[in-house]
Amino acid sequence: MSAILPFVFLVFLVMAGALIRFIGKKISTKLSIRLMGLYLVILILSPFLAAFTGDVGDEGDVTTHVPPHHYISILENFQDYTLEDLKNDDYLAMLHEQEISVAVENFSEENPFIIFTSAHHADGWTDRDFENYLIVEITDAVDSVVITQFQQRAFITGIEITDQIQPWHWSLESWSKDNLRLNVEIQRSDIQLYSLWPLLQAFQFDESINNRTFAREMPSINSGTIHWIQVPEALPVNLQGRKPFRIIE
Amino acid sequence: MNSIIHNESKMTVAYGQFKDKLYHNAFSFTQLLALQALGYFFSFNASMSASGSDFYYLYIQNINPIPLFTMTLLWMIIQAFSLSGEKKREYYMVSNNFTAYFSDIAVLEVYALIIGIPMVFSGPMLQLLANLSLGPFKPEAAYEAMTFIHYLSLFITTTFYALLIGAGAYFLGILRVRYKSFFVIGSIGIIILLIAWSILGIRFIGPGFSIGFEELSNFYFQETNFFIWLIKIIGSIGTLYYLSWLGIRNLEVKN
Repeated sequence: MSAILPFVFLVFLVMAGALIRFIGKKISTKLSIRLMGLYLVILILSPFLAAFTGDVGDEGDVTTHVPPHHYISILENFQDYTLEDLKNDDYLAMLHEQEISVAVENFSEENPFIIFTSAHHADGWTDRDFENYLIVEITDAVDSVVITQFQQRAFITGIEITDQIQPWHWSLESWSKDNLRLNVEIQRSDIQLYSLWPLLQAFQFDESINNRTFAREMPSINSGTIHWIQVPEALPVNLQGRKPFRIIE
Repeated sequence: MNSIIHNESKMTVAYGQFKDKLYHNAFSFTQLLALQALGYFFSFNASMSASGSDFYYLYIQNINPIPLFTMTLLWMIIQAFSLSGEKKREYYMVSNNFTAYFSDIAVLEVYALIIGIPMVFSGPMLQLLANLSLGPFKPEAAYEAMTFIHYLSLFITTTFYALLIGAGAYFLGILRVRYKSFFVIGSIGIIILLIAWSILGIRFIGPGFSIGFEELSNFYFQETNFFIWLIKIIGSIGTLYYLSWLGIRNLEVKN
């Protein structure tokens, strides 16, 4: 991409030159001065306009001070929480709610419905292990398996990236001749951020900025996921996975 | 000819020419707008860094005003060349080399001051454009750390750098007008000399030998003491002005 940029630059330069040449005869001196005046007015107003447009769409209650590993404290004390509590938790965002129909009559104690997960990940930056992310609730409130995914709200340098985190994909898969199991695949989240840098000359005489270089390490993501699975009471379930599940009965 | 304008002092004529050039070169402002637009475009595509794991991949698109700054300086170079080139066609009937020189320099200084304004507001303007096109986002910590002093520093440095670039381009423009084809030959000769110097430098001094735009710009950009920087920059601008004057003072103006 970087090799193409000089050519793109040249093309744009030629286009700009041609445009100036073409429209130049039609732009009078007075119009030029007025255009420049208008541009200067917009420039002078730009700090206010930037502040105004930056506020539009801001929910106002967004907090960047999410307690570190908040989701772990919920998982550790899962008996104290209900699904509604998690939905109303300020530090959690509900990413996805998925309903998977299961024919209860096809399962029995000898042939139970299997919830299987080998999916886990240790985050590359924080080395946190996200194995223990499941809360399984056996309830008569549902007729099919309902999976609700929560994500601890994640911020990088003050920018919320929660909505860029991909929900994990749960699906039924056949794992033996006559049995089905619920399995999960983790979707990779491609997170895009924009950062605005200052002109270095602003810090020309400010020795507190070390060599006026702003290169920084890639930030870490302080976040984690909770999957609340509601299973119909009539469905015999067998849990298979890397770690014990957290079960509410 | 006994026109009463010949009774005016040189400075009065130069001032009149300055106002005249400023007004009649107003189309250059449209050029500035076009180059600024181009600069904003490239500032949004300045650079990108990426890193991640199997589950998270983070792309950071850096919006950097350096291309905008470069395009703005390019405008200054174009204007300096344009002003120095007008000597060829005897723009003013009452012009002499002093008034032409003085008014050119004054116009360039006004242009440098004008450049300072868009550069000071380049950050908020990029922020505004980013808000409109990318959605709300927070700027880099260093950008947020900027205070009034930093903005003032940005205005002063940008203005002086624009003056320096403008003075350099004006000097080259005067040489071009004065020496015409010899200027082209001389330019080629200097390029060959510089290449030869680089080759010989690496051959006899070693890989540590380095001379280029970066080393030259560091002479100004790496100076953190304001007064020493001011001496360097004013000294450089003054030298270029003086060299320009030497080039123009006995220049024969022809149609």
